[in-house]
Amino acid sequence: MSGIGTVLAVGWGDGASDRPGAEALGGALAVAAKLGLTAVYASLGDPPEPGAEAAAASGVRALAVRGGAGDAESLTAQIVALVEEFAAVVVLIAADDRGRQLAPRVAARAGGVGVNNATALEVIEGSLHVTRPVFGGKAMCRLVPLRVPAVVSLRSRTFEPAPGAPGGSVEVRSMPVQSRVRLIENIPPVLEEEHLEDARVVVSGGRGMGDAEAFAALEELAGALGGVLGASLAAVDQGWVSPSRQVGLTGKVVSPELYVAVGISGASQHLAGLASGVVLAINKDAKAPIFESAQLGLIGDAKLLVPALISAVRATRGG
Amino acid sequence: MSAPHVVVLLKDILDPELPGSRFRIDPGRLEPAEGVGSAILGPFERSALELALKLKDAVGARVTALSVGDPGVLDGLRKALAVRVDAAIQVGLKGAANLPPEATAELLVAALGRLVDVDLVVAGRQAGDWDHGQVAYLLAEALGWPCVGLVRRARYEGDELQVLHDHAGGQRLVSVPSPAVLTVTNDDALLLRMARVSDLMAAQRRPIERFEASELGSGSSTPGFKIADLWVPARTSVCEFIPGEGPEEQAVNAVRRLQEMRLL
Amino acid sequence: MGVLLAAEPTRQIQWGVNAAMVDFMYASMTVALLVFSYGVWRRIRVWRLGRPAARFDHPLERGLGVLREILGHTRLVRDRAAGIVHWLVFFGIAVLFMATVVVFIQHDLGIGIMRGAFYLYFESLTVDVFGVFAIVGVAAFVVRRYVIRVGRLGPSEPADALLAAALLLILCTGYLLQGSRIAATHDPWGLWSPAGYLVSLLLGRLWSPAQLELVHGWVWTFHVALWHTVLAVIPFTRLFHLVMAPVNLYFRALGAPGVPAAIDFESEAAIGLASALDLSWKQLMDLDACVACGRCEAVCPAFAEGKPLSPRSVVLDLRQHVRENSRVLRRARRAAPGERESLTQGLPRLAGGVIKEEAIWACTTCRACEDACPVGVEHLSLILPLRRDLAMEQMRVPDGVREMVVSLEDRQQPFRGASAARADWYQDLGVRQLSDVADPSQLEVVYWAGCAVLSSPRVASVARAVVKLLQAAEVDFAVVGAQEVCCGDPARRSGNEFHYDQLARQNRPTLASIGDARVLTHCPHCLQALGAEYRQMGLVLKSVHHTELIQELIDSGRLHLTRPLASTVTFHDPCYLSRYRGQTQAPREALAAGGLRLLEMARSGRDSFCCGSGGSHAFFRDPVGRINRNRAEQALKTGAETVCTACPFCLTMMEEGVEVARPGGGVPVRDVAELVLEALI
Repeated sequence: MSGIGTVLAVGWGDGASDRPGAEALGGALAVAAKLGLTAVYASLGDPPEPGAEAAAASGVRALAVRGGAGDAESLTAQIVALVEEFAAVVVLIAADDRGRQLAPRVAARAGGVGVNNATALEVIEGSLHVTRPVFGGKAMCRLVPLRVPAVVSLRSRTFEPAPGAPGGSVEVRSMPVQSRVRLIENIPPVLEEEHLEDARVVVSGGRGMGDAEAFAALEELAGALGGVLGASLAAVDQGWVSPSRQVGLTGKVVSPELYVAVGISGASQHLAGLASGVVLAINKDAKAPIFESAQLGLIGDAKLLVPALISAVRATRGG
Repeated sequence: MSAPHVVVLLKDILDPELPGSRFRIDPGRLEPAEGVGSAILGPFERSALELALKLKDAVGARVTALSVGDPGVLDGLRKALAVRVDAAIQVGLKGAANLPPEATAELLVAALGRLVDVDLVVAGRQAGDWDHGQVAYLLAEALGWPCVGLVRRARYEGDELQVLHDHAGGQRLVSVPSPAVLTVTNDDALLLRMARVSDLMAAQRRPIERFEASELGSGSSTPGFKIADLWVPARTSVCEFIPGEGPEEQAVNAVRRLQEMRLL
Repeated sequence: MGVLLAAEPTRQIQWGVNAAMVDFMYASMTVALLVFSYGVWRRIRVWRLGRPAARFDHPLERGLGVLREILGHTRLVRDRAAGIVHWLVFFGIAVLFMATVVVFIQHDLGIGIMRGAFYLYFESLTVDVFGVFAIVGVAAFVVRRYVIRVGRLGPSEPADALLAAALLLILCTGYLLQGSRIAATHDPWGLWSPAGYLVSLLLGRLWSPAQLELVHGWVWTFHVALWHTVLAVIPFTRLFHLVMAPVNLYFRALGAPGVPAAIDFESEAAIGLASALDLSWKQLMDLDACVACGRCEAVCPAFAEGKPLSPRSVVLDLRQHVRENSRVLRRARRAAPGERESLTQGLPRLAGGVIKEEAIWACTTCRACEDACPVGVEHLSLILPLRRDLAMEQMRVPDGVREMVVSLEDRQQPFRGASAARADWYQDLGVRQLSDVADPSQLEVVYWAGCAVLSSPRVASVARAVVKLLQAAEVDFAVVGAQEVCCGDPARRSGNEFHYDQLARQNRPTLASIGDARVLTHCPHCLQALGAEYRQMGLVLKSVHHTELIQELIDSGRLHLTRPLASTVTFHDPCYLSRYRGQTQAPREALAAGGLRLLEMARSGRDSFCCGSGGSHAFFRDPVGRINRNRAEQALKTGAETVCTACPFCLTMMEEGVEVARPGGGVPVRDVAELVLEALI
């Protein structure tokens, strides 16, 4: 990678916060610096302006792109056009559901290579090295893209959000793209007080919960702790909880301060969804793998411990 | 409209529920050590297969299961035959588990080229081993077909394929033109059905068609990345077990500890 | 009439009966026998619908078993009150019947046996006394059914009252006959029939000899007509058990109890009970043998929990279905296979149609029903094939069973989500693995740990306790360890016979290598599979349960318990140990040797009450109600300081049950091995 080209960061700028986009930009700034390139930010959300404005505040060239259908089809086309326009050699995007589909598609169309779920990016002797979890998080892999552009989706908290500074302006771009996929109905996300990914406390239940009723108790515990309810893939597969609660490699990535894992064995790709936080694990089995990753452990029957915790927490809160 | 032809992409992966303590890496080959666990049909592939079978139930779709794999490992294809797919095809290739995504996609394009009138390709959102999550999307790009990811439901309304998929935290119901590629995510409505025993037994005898990778005339793709290192991260945390005689005492001690750690 | 003192004791047969009445008797007997035969033929006609069953072996053993049951009433007296009453009725009527046979021999065959001491002691005294027994018995039955209203008897039909009335009438008129004859003939040996004599005193005061003769004649005719009527209707009422009970018991399953029929998947077309045509003649016979006594229902743990399973209803509902549709079924059996389909397609499917799915799944296969049944109905031979149809043909299984099957397919163990490896539990114990032993047949014992050790460290600690005992006793053993795959019991008991078959075959070469060495296990389900059921595929193993081995080691002095635990314990007999294996003593002796005092639950030993996790229930998402909590309450009620059991599934269930009943409450649940180990060191 030489001094020609840019590092393009892409975000959605949905609503008020675009933390994923800001993290992508933070990463772009870091990588661009190491490669001696400039960073560019494109906000493709609906509306795109807020994200772009935040980026501009960091002093980078920021574009607010309008005109797509917001789906993977049109986003791919728009990002590829931007890659060509800005001769991007690296494209960074959040590894959320959209980002992980876009990385391979953009890479394929632009003749580059896609890498998903990066947890670290380094520049070693002028080459980009991407570290990512594999085998459900049982192992880590470091790979080196051999073509440009390298389109990398980033796990959350891999980079700090770009710092804001006054100045910079936003270019509004119109890139009308027709998607071959036609929208029939949009079902917006269920409104919650706090988004799972932004929650400070998450209480998750797994296979060990046994049934859907047990999740009601967990939700109560989450409420008492001021947090949000999450779940493992196994619990979602049982139909005990809505898929939007799934935490894991193929679910949401959460970075709370406290993560309470109840009835979760820890053997699967679940822990890969946990970017940070102190883990308190509650499990009947003292040898469950979750205790290898937890800082605090409670051994016992969740059916008895969860209500006891709810009472204990409420007692300290004076209510 | 004649019955659509649906191709389901299958992959056998190292048992995803293998206990972490048994997982080992062969440092020379940068792959999991041989024999560390058995290879079984991956979880997202099972969801994809169930989605395809539901289309078969609903509109009589013809389902072909297609897997690029180690010639010896046929768990997924046998399972697919046992749940009554119409045909099973293996693209035989040693060490296919670690084939780069582009190469896999290339083989699949060539294999699909040998099939007649494919209307829909259904794949899991990612294979639970290397977790690249790319093959289906690379395939869609190579074929130039529309692609919808993270699908939970699919149905044919007349000739129109309608699909419910995850999008931006919520869901969308979209209409997809044929031919197309779908990736499927896990859902409690997509648990793979049990096989009838008579079908299980018949599956042992049903033929699996073999395409040789060398015959498919692929190999022109150059790898997109190089694996520099593969390691098992050291577990450094030591869990502090909170004591207590009975749940009430445990809970009280836990809350106290959390307060000490300023998490409460 | 008076000169009879010097003569030999006897009486005039058919005294006071005229020729017309005698003709009537022979005529009505003929008609009754014809009707009876017709009734039996109708039943046989249904049995002939059935598929073959190999129950013609070992005639001597079979016959002796029937005799034992008839004479000893061994099954019947397990409900003591009812058993005693039945004994009275049965032997009462049996003796009376023999008396009639004696009359027949004397009168119609002309062989003069009805005289002398035999006449006095048997034909008079014994018969008279047993006749009273019969009356007392039938009256007691009436009181049980209509006054006390014993619950398990269920709703009564008019036929029940009519039969009871008929029997009482027959018996009472018999005494009327005796009394009138004794009075009218001034029978010198009248006192030898005490009850008849008492009646004669009364009648003698009422009527003259001539009147008594008249009364006698008509009562005799009535008596004969009534008894012939009862004879005729036997095949159409619950009295058919007179024939069915011995016959059904004769054709019972010999050998280890509770072994389901194996399926040869290569050749069998029907792999479960789909239609009544899939029933064997023995199963059809079971249906006819049932007298609706309700003992099975009374001991069923699922029924006690209010679940929709009643073993009695399964039998009676199937019976009703077969009888209602017997014409169609017979035609279908005779038809060609293609036509057969179309003939039976209007009939409801047995599993899910005739018998509700929830009922079929509610069974924990504890076998209390089969054990309690006095006529030898094999309930599980009906329920498990129904499950096979649900699981293997209809693919309708409870949540949790599907996951279990997937886990068996992918990992050869039933506990989805268990992350332990098979070799983990014994890593630090310094034991040999079977694969490291050159000649396993020289070992004393080969330890099969089973899959439950993977499910929780609690169970693994039981296995570790067993190993420590083996090491203390210096037993030459090896663990099978990593070579094990699931014994297949969860698959078999959930109707997934194919998966059982696959797993068993996988285990066969490993176990075939142990030759004469005994396979030891702490899990009664593995014990049943390896010790009894693997024989079906030709693998005959000597098996021993860990409680049995521990008792042997204690008895032979190889385990010397030096620290008696002075406390009280109640032992929960695992169903698969008590009712399948037939072992109830070994664990108790081991506990006693450890200094523990046993406080027994009301339902213990062979009568044990299921913990609720058999029949693959341990893997259900919603186990059948809370059978285990019921059982835990029973255990706690004994006041014992410890609850003890000998099965990993019972252990898990009892721990949960005890914890719920007494949260944090300090009544530990332990395995026998753990307690013996405590008493050892």
